[in-house]
Amino acid sequence: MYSIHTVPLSSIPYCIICDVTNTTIPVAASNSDYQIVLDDIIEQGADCFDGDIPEELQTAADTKQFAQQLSSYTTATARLAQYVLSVGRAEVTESLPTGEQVWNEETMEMDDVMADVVTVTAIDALDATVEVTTYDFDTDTSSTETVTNPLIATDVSERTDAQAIVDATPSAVVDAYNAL
Amino acid sequence: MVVKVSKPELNLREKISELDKPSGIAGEAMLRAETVAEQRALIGVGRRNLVMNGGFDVWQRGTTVTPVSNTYQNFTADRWSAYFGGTYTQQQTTLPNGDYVNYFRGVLGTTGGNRININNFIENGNRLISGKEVTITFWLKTSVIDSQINVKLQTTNGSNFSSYILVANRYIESSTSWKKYEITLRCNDDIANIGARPHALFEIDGVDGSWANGTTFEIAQVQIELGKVATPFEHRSYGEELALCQRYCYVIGHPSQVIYLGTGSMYTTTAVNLSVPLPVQLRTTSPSFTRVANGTGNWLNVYVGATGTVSNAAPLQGDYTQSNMRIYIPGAHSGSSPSAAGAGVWSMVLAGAQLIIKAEI
Repeated sequence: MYSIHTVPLSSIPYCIICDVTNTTIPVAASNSDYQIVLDDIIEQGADCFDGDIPEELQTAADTKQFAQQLSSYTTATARLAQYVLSVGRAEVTESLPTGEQVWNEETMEMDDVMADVVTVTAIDALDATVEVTTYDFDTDTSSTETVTNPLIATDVSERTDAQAIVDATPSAVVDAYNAL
Repeated sequence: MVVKVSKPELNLREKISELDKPSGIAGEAMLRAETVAEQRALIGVGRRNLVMNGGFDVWQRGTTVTPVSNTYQNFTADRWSAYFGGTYTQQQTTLPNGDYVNYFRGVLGTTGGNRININNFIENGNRLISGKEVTITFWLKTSVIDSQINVKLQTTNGSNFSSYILVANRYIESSTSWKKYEITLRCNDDIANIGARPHALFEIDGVDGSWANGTTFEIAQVQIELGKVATPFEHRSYGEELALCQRYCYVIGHPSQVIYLGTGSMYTTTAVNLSVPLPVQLRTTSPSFTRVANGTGNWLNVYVGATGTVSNAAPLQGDYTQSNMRIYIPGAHSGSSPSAAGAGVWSMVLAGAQLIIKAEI
């Protein structure tokens, strides 16, 4: 439980005391214990404080939580943007200027020479299953079983986790991300 | 006018043979070096070890520390935190190379991902390691064999890890006897994020998170140096290492002796202002204070004249200079005579108690 204490005639407005660790904590972003106070406010809210949480502390905790959510959302969005291993990736071709120009007699201007360029290469889908051969030294026999491709399983798991983060992100954070 | 000068005979064949001195590859490399700086780098002279307290000599908090929760704030030996709860002690041994050393011994005592995990923060280390080759050397012994351990270098904003990224790592296998590991890594360049992640973190982290309670790990002579050559462990004196560590943590107290804290005056009849000298400039002007009570449940004795009051009152930071702090302690005195506002006081930390002034990254 945290409580607020003031120091008379000090440039420091107040300190936070944690009665669990017997630690006096300054209100300073560079202090690692202060960051733990903010984490506890994010996690437990007013339950971790004896009395009301000072407004600037609550604001600092909200700002930290917003930054954490924005970071998580950015990472999760980037993960979801990667191609799905079980589907593969289609080739993308674009018409781009080659850097050369030719004289256009009709318009009396120089025109760019265009060429079709592959900007995204195709990647085949991975096999849905793979065969795993196990050798038994005791019986000197081997057996083969077909299992889900572990790369696809990991991909699905990571995408599910990333989607869960995206779904749980507050709209204000999404708006901030879209405004970047 | 003609002047005749006579010179002793010169044996050219002899002089040329003198130039043909035997020199090894290292000697030739020294001769080929273009600059003094290049020669220094070749032989690894000067301050090399980026790790403070890599020899585990300094344990201001006590030579046995027993954190119960899992957090990067579990500081044990100075500058070293151990993430998992357990018992961490300073021990001594003779390593296979013949060095008699202090070392760090951990005995795990928690659940949930239990494994070796110790960390050392390097202040402003991003600019030192980003894009550079770094060589890590240490001795390690565990009670589990062939368990994978990830030796990592990260850049980070600090121990709350609101921003961090792995810049280099290498997996090693644990051994049940003392083994010296020499690892050279090329770190990714994270200079672009030096504002968000100014510090470096060295972490030795087990991969298998199911080490049983009571599993032990022991580590000695940790050294991180720039370049791809592992040089011998850099020994620093205890006093020098202690001063380096006190920038991040200053502990006042002794297991069996009363330790003088500072003088000051009563602000009211019960609250005191103390002036506490600092041995070195702290990393931050805003440290935390943790009071550790002794067996009687108290840590402080404040005297007005010859009348002392023992208490467990909480210290608050008043003001700070580079060499001194004003600590304000309400409830440090009973208020009974001869206490009065303005009265001079002197103070002690009780035997077995501590005041920990913490400015860790």
